[in-house]
Amino acid sequence: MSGPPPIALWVSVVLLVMALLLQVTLLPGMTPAGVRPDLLLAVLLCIGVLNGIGVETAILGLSAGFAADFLAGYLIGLNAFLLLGSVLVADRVLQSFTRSNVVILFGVVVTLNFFSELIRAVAVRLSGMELGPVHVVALISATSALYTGLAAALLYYFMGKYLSIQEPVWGWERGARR
Amino acid sequence: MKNLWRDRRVVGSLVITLVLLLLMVWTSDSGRPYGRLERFWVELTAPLGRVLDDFGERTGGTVEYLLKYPTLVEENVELRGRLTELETLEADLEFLERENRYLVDLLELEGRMPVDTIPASVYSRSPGNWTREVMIDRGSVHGVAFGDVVVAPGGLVGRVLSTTAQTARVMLITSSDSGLGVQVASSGDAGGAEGQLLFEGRIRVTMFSPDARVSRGDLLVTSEFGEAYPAGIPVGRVLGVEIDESGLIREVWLTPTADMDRLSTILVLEGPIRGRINWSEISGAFESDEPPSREGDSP
Repeated sequence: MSGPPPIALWVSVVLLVMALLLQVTLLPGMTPAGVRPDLLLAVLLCIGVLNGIGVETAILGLSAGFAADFLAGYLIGLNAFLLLGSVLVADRVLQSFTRSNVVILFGVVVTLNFFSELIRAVAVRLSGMELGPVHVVALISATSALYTGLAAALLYYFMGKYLSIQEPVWGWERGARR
Repeated sequence: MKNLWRDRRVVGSLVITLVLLLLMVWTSDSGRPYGRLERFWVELTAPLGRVLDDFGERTGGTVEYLLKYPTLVEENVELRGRLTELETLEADLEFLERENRYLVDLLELEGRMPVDTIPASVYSRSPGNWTREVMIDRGSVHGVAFGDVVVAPGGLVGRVLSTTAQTARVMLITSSDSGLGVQVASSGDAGGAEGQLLFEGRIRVTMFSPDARVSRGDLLVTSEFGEAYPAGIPVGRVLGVEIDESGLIREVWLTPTADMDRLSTILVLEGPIRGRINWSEISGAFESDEPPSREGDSP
């Protein structure tokens, strides 16, 4: 594989910054039932799938996670850890598929986001905050995962069609862009 | 010359001209009534005149339209652009008007508050699903401290959880961890309130007495029995009342009086505050909902 990645680095950074700003400004007042998708995870995995998950995606995930942590102002490092972990797990999982499609991306994002939300809930609970019954926590995690999966599917289509400057790498093809 | 007069076309033309001149002279008096022949002629030709007039108008309009078409297209594009500009301007004005009203209310609130206040801007909200918090741009160097109460023009917003030199983290009353004591403003019946993770923006109150007098639309304010908040600050309006199967617990759902979705600037009340804040005197609102005076309250 040669040439620039389908999604240029500066485009990736702009998309992540926009996702982060949406996440901490408009989104909290707009989402149905008060459950929010994880836009950072959706954008990050779309970039990873189109460009090929590698060190660059991992660094982007870590940086975006830290930015979110500092804006949240509590449990600093949690979002960075979860985004980096999600990228690494996605890399391992996607390597078992030879081709990509939006259904696989949706499944991976939903699963990763569901477990990320559960880990966040446990971390917040351990920090001393009351969260309420377990079934509510599970329901919120599942709803958030569904929203994030749908957001990722839409972003994947949009980014592949309008922002990609060449054919996608299909990131989980072994050895691509490493 | 003789030959000219003999030419029938010349003679005919002169005769017709002469007749027409006589006709013109004869009909030149506009005040003269129509003769019988004239009346007949005018009435006979009137419908034709109208048809011709219509045709002329339409043809003229079409020709005029065709001639002006390129200009009209340009004008249309320009007007559409102008319309978009005006719509944007109107939206901006609405936003500014709302913002202005909010800031005026906040300014009045600040001026009438019996304690020192610190105005602060909300610059971020918690990005996750598990906490309902906002970050504000005032911190310990400005006098903000742990536990400080935060209000907006509508009522209670929350309290300060932690501070840095320049920022502070505020837990909203809609957070699931925000237990606070409330009481019905009109009856004084008390309960415990907490936010909800699902259906953000609603607060659940468990009334201490199953016979509590509370109904839809009632205002609930912070209770005088709580320690974290001074009494009397509006918390929310009742959306609905539920009684559990045993009939012993009465649950009340509130919607916050402060607009939690549009928090832009808020007021931090400095230091620990004891006693009651008379919100109706401060904001001029909720006057009819003032709680009844209790024994020992009077000076």
